[in-house]
Amino acid sequence: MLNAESPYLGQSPAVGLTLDHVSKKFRSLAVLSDVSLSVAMGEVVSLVGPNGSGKTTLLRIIIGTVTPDSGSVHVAGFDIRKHPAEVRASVSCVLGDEHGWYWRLSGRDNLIFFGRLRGLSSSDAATNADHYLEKYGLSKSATQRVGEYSTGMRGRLAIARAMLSTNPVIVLDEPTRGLDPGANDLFIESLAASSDRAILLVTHDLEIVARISTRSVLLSSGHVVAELPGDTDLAVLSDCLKAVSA
Amino acid sequence: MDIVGLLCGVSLFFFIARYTGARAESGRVDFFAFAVPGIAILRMQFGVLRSIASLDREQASGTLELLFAAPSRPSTLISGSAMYEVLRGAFLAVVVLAAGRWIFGARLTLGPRAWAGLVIGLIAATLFFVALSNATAGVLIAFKYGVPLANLLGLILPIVSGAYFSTTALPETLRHVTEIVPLTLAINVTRDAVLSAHFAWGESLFALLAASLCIPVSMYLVELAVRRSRRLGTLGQY
Repeated sequence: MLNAESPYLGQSPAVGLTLDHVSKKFRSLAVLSDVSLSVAMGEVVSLVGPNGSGKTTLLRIIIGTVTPDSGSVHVAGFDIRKHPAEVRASVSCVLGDEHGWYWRLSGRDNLIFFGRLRGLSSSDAATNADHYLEKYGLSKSATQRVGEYSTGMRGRLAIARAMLSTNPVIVLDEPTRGLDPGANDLFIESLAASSDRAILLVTHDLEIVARISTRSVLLSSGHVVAELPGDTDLAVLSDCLKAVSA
Repeated sequence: MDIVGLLCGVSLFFFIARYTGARAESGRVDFFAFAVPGIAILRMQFGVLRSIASLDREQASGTLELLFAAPSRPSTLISGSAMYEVLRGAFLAVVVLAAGRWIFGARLTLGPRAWAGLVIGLIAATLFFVALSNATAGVLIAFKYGVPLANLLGLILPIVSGAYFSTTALPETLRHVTEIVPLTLAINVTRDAVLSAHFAWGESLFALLAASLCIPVSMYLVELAVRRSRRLGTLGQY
């Protein structure tokens, strides 16, 4: 029986991520206005929209580095205002650039560090790091300093970092930027294999959207303007995006 | 490189004292012996500078935002990072004392009679510098001016802490303020221990208490700074 303090009150545990009427202003600029969306466990929802539409701000609200002005955010059943640490423990992310590393540490050491930061034990962090380095073709460069990695290698490492721990929710901001076609395919396979997680993907790559998404959400000027089913044709997606970008 | 730099710093004071023939404490102690405990304790200040410089780089590279996206409290992460650098500075402080005594011949007592005061002084100084690092980190996170502030503190602390000269040389108003600064208390406790093997329970406990109180206050400042940055959306900005 649920009690009044249960974080799952009013939430189905099957819903990984819910945003209800979220708004955010920076100074006088409304970046997000009354945005509502949800991502169920096992779903891959793509968030698309023109530059400056508020996609990255939305992701930052979910991972807890930006506070919404109004509205509610629930991640794995936890309210971001009441249980911020639990929310941060439930979501991992790719923030879309190849920075965010300790450049003098190796790729492996970076992954172990961030795994430990997310609560993995030393041995689990090391095992998972080795697994994902192998999976994303970085085993040979595992002991190289991240500062010596190419853009694409750092992109793959960022995806490995997001997948490293068993967080139920993953948010990804342009994760395929700089990836070669082979790495792109590996990434899509990883998403397809993560059927036990709720994934929110921000991307401009409509081919990935068409291939992998169970739903697409179009964001424009901080508003959700449309939601499209996963089997939407690539051409239709492109037309919709062009229409909101105009 | 740290050890070489440290020895250069100590030798500077050695030669100044030798050249000027200066004495301290109304002539009872030679200036070099008086200054060595202060030089030692202020080594920890470099730990603060390194910690803030590192944080500045993390902020610029986006790593800081990822650190704060982790479940751990930001103040815990910042304190942990500062603790490593300051403890490293504490180790070097002991090296300074040893070098002052056994390389440069300062009349210091480093045997068991000095250990109680020395340990209390070093602990109090460590706590103070960790708190200072936290507070400076808060300014860095909130206003992006942590490095200039750390550099400024690096210039102010030697003047107000009694590290190189007694605080009795300062104007009266300033003296009353500096005498309750935990760093000044920590240096006094350390100096009493190594110059005269003297251990004052009251002063030592007060130094420890004052320094300990700085920690939760500084951690709260970090949490406030992060909260502000989250609200303004500047955590990921540089």
